[in-house]
Amino acid sequence: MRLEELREWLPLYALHALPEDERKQVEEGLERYPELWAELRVLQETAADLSQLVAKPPSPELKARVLARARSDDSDKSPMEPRLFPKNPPQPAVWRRWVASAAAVAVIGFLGWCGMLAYPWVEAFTDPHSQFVTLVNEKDQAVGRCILRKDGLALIWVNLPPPPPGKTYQLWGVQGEQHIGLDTFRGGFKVFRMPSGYEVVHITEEQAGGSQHPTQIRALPIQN
Amino acid sequence: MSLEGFPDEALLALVARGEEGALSVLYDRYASAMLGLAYRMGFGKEAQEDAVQEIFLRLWNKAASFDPKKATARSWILAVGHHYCVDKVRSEASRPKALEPFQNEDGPEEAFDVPGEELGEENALNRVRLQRALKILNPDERAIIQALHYQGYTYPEAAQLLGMPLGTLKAKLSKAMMKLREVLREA
Repeated sequence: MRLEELREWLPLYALHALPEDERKQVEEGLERYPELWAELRVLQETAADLSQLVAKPPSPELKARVLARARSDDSDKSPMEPRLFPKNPPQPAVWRRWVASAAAVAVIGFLGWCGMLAYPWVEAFTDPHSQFVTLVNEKDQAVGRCILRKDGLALIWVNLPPPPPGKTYQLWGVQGEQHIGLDTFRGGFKVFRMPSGYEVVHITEEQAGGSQHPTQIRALPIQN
Repeated sequence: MSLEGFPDEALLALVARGEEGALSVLYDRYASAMLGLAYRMGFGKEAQEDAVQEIFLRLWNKAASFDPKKATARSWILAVGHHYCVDKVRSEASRPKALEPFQNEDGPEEAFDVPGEELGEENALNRVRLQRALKILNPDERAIIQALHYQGYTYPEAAQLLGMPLGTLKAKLSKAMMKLREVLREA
């Protein structure tokens, strides 16, 4: 399944509206194109909003039934999802509880920090001024994706093999015949700033440290 | 230590290690939405409560599989609930008849108006926000959301039900989801 085809299926996937075989195809496709997870997250948030449209207060006794059921039921645990800790762990010593609390605070802080880093890019998905570009290699196969925000900051992800020893990948801003050399990187994710007036990105393979002029093109924006 | 202030992500991590208190807090946050969803999808009163029990049992047993890189905890929790309800209606020989929220020409608000004085101000505001968002959809888009999300039809079934080509349904759904997202973000 091609990336664009997969993208068309994401809203259906988010609403659980695909037949089982097609659902599996989408999940396999997401393994190949992990850059689509960000788009899926946005759709899943909207699906979650739809699920919260109607709220109905539960009867007071329902909670007790739910908790009792959970307490007594361990049988549905999938062997693929082993429980890392026993259901009723022994009471830890006081110092261990303090360490556990501190670790929990650190983890929550880390998650919050990750969220702060990711949020501007999630927000960029819904900004009509953001540009989304698919990058293809010389065989016209999709190898990456770039989000260019209106403030010039860009997030790129490319699925290229690691550059050969002594080589690196280099980003270029392109405007007509003009090229301007930008950052070097080794593939995967990269945040960079596109110079003012430039809106097209190319990726080349260059000597380590980068080059003044592009030599070996590795990825270009898809031609519509 | 009180778990009330913990984010959903942390509560799921605690549920995965068997902390019943964390499940209790998640229940307080999401049980009314789960019950409302089951109601909205046409479950009878007893089936609605059964659904809530089954959904929280799934959360209890599957919390370890939550991956924060792939979804927020809120969307994952609600997806577990929605998937249960969809699987349930698809397994029924005769589908329960979901509510028809869009048949009112005045808009969807009235049809979604579920008595719930006990829900609190925040939930009430969320409902108003969502109801306003649904008003921006055109009738085709609302019918698609209704068939797929609230009646649990697969998209080929929905296309047949609504008399739409598959490609048209997919395109309209994408547009509807984008509209909803934009309005919900602005609200």
